[in-house]
Order: sequence, then structure tokens, then C-alpha cells
Amino acid sequence: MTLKGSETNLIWQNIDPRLKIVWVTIFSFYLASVNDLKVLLASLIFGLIFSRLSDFSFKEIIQKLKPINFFILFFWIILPFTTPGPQLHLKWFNISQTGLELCLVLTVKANSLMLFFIAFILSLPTSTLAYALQKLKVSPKLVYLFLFAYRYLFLLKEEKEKLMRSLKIKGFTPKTNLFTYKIYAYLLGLLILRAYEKGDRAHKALLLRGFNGTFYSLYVYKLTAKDFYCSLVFFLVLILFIWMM
Amino acid sequence: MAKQNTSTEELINLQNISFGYTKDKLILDNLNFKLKLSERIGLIGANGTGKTTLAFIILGLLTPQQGKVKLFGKICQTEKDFQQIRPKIGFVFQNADDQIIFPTVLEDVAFGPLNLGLSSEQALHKAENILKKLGIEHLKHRNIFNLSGGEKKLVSIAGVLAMSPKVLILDEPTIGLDEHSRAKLINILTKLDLSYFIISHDYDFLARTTQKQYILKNKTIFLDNTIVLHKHEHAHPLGYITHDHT
Repeated sequence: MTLKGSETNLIWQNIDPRLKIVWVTIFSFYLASVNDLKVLLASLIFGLIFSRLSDFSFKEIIQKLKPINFFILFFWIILPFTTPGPQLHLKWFNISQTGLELCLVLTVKANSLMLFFIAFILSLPTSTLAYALQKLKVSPKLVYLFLFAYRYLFLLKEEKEKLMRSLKIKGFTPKTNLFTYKIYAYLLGLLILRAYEKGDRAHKALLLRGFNGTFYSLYVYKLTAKDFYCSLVFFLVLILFIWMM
Repeated sequence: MAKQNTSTEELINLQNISFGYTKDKLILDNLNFKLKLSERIGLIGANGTGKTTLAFIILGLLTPQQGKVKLFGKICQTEKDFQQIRPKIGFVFQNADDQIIFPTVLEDVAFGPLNLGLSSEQALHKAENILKKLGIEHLKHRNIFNLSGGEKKLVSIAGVLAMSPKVLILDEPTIGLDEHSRAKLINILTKLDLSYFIISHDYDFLARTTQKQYILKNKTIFLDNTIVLHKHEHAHPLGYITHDHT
């Protein structure tokens, strides 16, 4: 049984999810510890290739990279002006060279890590990911936490929007005063209560649908020769990174 | 086989059930209720009379203070008893979002069959069949949060039907559904070869989908023959445009 997708993506999609998780962990630990710009640029390129192999379009990939780059933007605003070290003299102000380099390294590193994550993890269906984590002997509690956070964060957001709407209808305008803080405290309290209730109902729903603590994957994966070859490719990429240093 | 015959006749049998969320205030008192094979029953009752509570008692999610729950001819008391029976009783929650666990439609519908021990291929096949039967096959790979209320309801029903239950319990199925989705649901329910039990306020809906209607009032359940449900010819905007209710 295979997932949907075009022919070229089939190989990538049929890689054993456990293998993907293991490799992405290795890559992320390695890339997080490297500060060499050459290696990071190479990893960025490989990240792009891998994420193109998964079923995401360029537009989707860019969309997913937006939030992290927005976050990094703040480093670009602050670090070049505050880091000590050799300075580049522009007409009116000085820019720190080390700060600039640091920002560049940070940006490339964050983006390539994200690309690896998109390619290896986001391309998996949720149930498969839960199943694979379980097979890797990750604590069941963590697996549930991950899976339900993924689904219920959205529902909680919806719940919050409902409450905010009802506040607006009643003519509430937030100000900086005690009354506003009090209302927000109530809001948070209500949200926690509703989350609890939702959790209770979800628990009931799980019981009714025969859930007994283990997840099963809808798609079958077996460790075969293709997994070995893919691992070999990943290993060579890793060796390449190490050699480039 | 002969021994089983009586047990398949009576699917749900509640005897002298009493239940209250607090000790001193009962909301169900000495209630008796039976659902037989191929019966289709509607349950009407005001808000807060304990209709959903009753359903939860049948499913063993709440334990009554007094009385017996007999499912498929077997008295159920412990969580283990109920666990064995639960796949045979499909419960459709009032709010579809409570029922849907996975972010994509196919994964969610296949979740029940996988839990019942089917192989992934069988589960996938079954899920696809059910989706086709309900006419929502095109939603297969869609994300749950992009679905409309009516579509979510049908997906949650598909998730329950995928477990091949013997009885279906629906809690206020028409809430939040538009005319079209409601008509679709009526069409689906009447075509199902299942016994079911619908909790609803929508009298017209009950008249179209059930044979008998019970009332939950004064902490107990009774069949009220004086109330005759009848189908309403409905009015809706733009009714003069030719349309069909399929």
C-alpha cells in the first residue's frame, strides 16, 4: 500500500518512517553544532533537494519557512549593531563584522534545519508518525501529547476566537486597566475549563472507537533494500558535511 | 445458535436505571428501556433531562447508581465487559469535532477498523468503501479543518460505521446542519440496514427516520402514543427554484 503522489515522490514516501525520524535526529544534532558557513550552505542545498522530493510545492515550502525567518529578522535588526569585534565603517554608523557573520550563520542554519524537518517529518501522515515514534520506543505519553497537540491546538484556537467574539459583541474593548486584565484572566480560565471538557470528550471518543493505547499505521512500511540505499545516501551526505569542515 | 437467538433479539435492555451526577439529585430514576433488533427509535426530551447521559450509560462511560445494563443479552458491569461490546454500538457525538481524532479524513475513518485488529490494507479498503457509500469519497485526502459542518458530521458517522456496528446511537445529529446536509443524512439513515436510536429535538427529522418515538420526562422514559409525529412540508428561501432533496 502506498501513499498518493507522483511517481518521483514514491520512493521518498515509501522510506520507512522510523528511518526518517532517526536520520532527521542525527542531521539536526549535527547541524545544530556546526558553525561553519560552507557546511551550512551545503546542508541548505540538500535540505531543498530533500524537501522537493517530498510532496510539497515550492510555494508550500516558502510558506512554512516564513515564520522562522520572521523570528530571525529580529536578530538581523539587533546583532549587527550590538556585537563587539571588528567593525565595518559605513557613512553614519558602524556595523559589527562578527555580528553580521553570526546572523548569516543563524539564518542558514535555521532554514536548513527547518527544510530537513519539512522533508523528513512533515511529509509523514500523522498516524504514521505516531506509529513510528511508538515503534522507536518513545514514551507513549509523549506520543499522545504530540498527536493530540497537533489536532487540538487548532480547536483551542477556535474556542478562543469564539470567546473573543462574544466579548466583542458585548461591547468589550481592551484597555490597559485592571478590568481588562480581569476579563483576560476569566478568558484564560474558561479556556482551560473548555480544554479539560474537550479532553474528556476526546477520551470518551477514543474509548468508543476501540482505542487500546497503541496506534496502528494506515500504511505498511517494511525495512527493505530501498531503505538501506537511502540510508547509504544519507550517510554519504553526512560524511560530505564532516569532510567539508 | 438457538441460545444466541434471544440475545440478538434484544440489543439494548436497561432495567431500573437510576443515575445522578450528585448523590442527592437523580436525573434518571428507575428507567426502563429496550431496543430490539431492526427497531428504529427516536428519543425526545427537554434540555438537561439526561438524554446524552442515558446514551453514556448504555456505552458504559457512566456507571448508574442502580440498575442493570444488558447489551446483546449480556449484563455489562465492568469496563472490560463494555470494552468487548463497544465496537458493536456506534455512537455519533453531538459535536463532530469531539469525535474526529486525526487531521485527515481517511486516517480518521480507518482508525476504528485498525483498532479492531484489521490489517492496514483491509482497514483502508473498508474506510474507502464507507466513504463511497456515504457519497463523500472526494473528501478522502482533505484536512479536517477545511471541512464544513455537514461534511464533518458525515465523516464522523463514517468513522463509526467503519467499525461495522450492530446498533447506532446518534446524539442530536441535525444540530448545525443545513437543509441539504440534513436531507442527505435522512437519506443515508433510512437506507442503512441497522437498528438505531436517535436523540433529537427535530420532530420532522425523527418522523422521517424512526418508527417509534419515546419521551424522556420526569426522570424516566415512556412511549407516548398521544403524540403523533408527522412530516412537515418545509419552506425555505428560494423554494421556487426547482431543486431536489437527495
